[in-house]
Amino acid sequence: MYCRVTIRIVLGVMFCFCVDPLYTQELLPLHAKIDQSVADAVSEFERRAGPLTTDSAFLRRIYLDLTGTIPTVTEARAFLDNNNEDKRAAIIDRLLMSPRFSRHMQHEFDVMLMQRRPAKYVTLSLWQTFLFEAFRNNLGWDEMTRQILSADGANPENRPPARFLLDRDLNPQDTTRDIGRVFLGRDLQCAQCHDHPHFEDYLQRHYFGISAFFSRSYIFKDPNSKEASLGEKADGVVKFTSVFTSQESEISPRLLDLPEIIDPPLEEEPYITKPDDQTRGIPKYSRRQQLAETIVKQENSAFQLNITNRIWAMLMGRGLVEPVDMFHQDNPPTHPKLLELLSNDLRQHQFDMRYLIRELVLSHTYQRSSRLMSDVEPPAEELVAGQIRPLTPEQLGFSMLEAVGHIENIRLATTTKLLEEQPQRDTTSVAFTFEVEQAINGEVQPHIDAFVNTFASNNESRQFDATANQALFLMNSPLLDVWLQPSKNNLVARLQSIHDIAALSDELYMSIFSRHPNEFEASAVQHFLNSFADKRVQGLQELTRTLLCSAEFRLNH
Amino acid sequence: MKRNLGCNILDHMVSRRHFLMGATATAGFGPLLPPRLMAEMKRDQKQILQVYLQGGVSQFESWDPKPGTEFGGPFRAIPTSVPGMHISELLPYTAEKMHLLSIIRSVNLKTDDHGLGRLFMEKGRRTGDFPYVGAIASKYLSAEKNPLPGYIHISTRGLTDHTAAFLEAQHGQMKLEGFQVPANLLRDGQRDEATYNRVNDFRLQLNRQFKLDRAKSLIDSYDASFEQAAQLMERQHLFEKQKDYDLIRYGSHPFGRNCILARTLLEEGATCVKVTHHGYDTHAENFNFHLEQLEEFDQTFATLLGDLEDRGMLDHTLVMVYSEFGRTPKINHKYGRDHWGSSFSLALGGCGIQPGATIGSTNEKGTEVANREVDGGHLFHTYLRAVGINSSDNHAIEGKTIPIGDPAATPIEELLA
Repeated sequence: MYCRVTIRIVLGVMFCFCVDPLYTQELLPLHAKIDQSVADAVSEFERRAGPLTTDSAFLRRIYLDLTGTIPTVTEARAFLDNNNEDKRAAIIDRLLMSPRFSRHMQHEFDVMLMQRRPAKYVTLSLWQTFLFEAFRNNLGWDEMTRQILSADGANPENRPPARFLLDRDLNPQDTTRDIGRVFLGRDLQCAQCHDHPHFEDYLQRHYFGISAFFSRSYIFKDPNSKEASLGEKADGVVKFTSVFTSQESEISPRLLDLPEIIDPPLEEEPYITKPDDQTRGIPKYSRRQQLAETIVKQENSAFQLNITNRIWAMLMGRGLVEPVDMFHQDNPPTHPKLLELLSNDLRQHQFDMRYLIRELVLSHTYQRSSRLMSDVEPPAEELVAGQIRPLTPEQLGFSMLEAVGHIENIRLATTTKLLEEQPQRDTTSVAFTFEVEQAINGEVQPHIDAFVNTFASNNESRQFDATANQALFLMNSPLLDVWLQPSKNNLVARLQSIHDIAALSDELYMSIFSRHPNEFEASAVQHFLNSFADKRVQGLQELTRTLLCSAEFRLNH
Repeated sequence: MKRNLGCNILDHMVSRRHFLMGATATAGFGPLLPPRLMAEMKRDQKQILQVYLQGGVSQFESWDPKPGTEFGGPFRAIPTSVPGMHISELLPYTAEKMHLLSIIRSVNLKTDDHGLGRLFMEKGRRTGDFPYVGAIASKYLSAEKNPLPGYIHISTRGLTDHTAAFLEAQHGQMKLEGFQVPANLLRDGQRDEATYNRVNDFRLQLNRQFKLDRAKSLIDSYDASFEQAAQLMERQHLFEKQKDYDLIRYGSHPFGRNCILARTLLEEGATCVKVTHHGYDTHAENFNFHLEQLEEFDQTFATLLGDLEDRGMLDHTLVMVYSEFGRTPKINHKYGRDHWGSSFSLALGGCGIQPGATIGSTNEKGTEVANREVDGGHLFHTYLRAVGINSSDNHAIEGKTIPIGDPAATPIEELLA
């Protein structure tokens, strides 16, 4: 609350000095502008808006959203014991620079770009490393997009980003549809057959205009290495026939309603390398390169609106345009000015996604509690309360492995090993933390895959698909039994050594929920454990497993 | 800790099943009734059996043969139990049961894309986040305490589809990977009945507390998934060794076994059961593949249909045999047929469907619909009306008005009983 009050005071003071309010608004940091814009959109906002989260709820949420996992019990205790006023901002900055941030973004953008397709021509590990490194180096979204759409996959450097096109086999339907969805926020699937039956602004020429950018490209398989890459021809046109009018039209590459991009006159020798069975075609003028260059341009506002909205949805649980791939006249943003403002700001910051994410999570809008003020659930688009959302399969897997202490054991073992190799190393250095993260990630990957197989659904929908198969996994999977065997410093081993019930409940709740238990909860723990009498280890295992099966653990709240 | 997934495992689990019956009774479910009795009780509950021929069965080699024409292919048409109705000779057993089914030969989806075709057939809309037929059936046809999850899909491939859309997650499809015991259905070791109950109660207590001042829908969905898991754990006999009598009649191949399971699930009260028969995407060797695929399909499906009839289940069970599209008239250079969504067929029967009818037709060569053109929207209204759901109503979702079927489409009235 204090910040909103501060803003009002600041504004009040400025009004006293008769400063133009528009000017003062310009001075506000982006996160304050977000809050103002959200407040302006709802009448009686002050009365309706819920409080900010508690520190523990904030900590869990920010860890899940920025690092894809819950905090370790040590980190959680340190944060809750810290009385520094700006500790939220401080931890946000620390997490944004951590290797786990890049890892989490890798997962999120992998699903967004590839929707869990199996690997076809480019290995998953190459692709994942590309995404991880892109976020580690804070590559702008424009540059990332340019790389993804222009890569031909013919050399080691540009092989990974070429996966977007290659692993879709350059299938015209999938490729056009996903370029529309992923980069422009528009699912043009039905415009393919005819002008969209429902939405006036989804036109057939949008669909075929995009497909014309890569209609000359093809998958070339090198006869020697057998490796697939993208070749392109220097001519060829896209024709489409409306199923309603049977009218045939020809179309040049074109992005939505921007002007068509007319090819330069065909040169006498149009190729750098002429295509044949043995050689990949490389034209002097490439339509596909035109796509990569044009899509990121300022005139194409769909590009910046789309990524802004997707990042907003990722952090707030709901897009300003929802579903995120349904930008059209009949589905306007809930906060049009805010979306405009954020997306322009993102462009001014060279599509620095880390900057945008930082501003979003600094806002009170992000930090609002998910607890409701009354029995009536406020409409989600009012943004007066935090949205509850399911953990992604990756978030759930990493969080569970962290909670049971499995990752902590790997962390300790890796640190020990690295120090044995080079005793002088600074364990707080960036390089060291990256190495440790890499080791953990490599070791737990098979477990994470098991979570993905059980919890992922066939699309990138953010809705909660709670199924019986998932519940069976959580209740009965022998995988969890292994993690619940007392071992070294893992959770059950730690609990085993604590005999005071208050201390035991606290360690349990801090490890799993990142918060202290209240008295009622501590006595419920005692009651549950007592019912196991002399089978204490089994009691501790069942106790831990039950908390891991709870809604509080399954959801980001 | 090693799990034994050999086929005898269930024989050793009798005592566990016994305690689970007790355990779930505390969670609010009645004791297990013999299947037959269950079926008797459920007479008034409408059900759906979906047999999905994944990849796109060829209409020429199934419901709409065109022998002796340019694109007809090598197979003949044979008479069926309905005078005047002919289907492909690849379906001899089904031909004898056609008096229980009707054919729609005039489907035009205007798409040749697997995903889009499937979604249109399941959701009745070309696009948008709408629930599948099975999820709608689960929501509106299931008894309040249904003994099994409302929408079960038996399939051996792929990730789970997102099928519930804005309906509660428990109406989304629960996927069984074939007839095998589902992963993690059984738990080794320690837990006895009392422990199971304590764990269950403690979890519910935690969730009740958490839910007190929060938006409830996700938490309720999450609880429901555990209830459904308990329902399955309670019914491990579903996955016990199938009877030789059934295996001989249905075939002991996976599709045969999956269909036996589908019948059992329907008998035990699942609202919608979908069985997928994979492998109809025949871009090459269309004729050889259809010969093999449909041979497997034909006897099994005809047996299943016969069983449903014998057991009196057809009057309350809608049967759908469908694909995401058909196959091209043109035969390509690999003797394949490619994707074709603009003139293909499907078969419907059972509850609410006029049997023995042929709706619509294609032209002589099968290259386009000749009359009574319908698309996924019309079919969707038809399935739902057949099971007594008023498809022009709105979904019962608080604060929103969402028409169940696409208001721009209507049911095929002449097909409804």
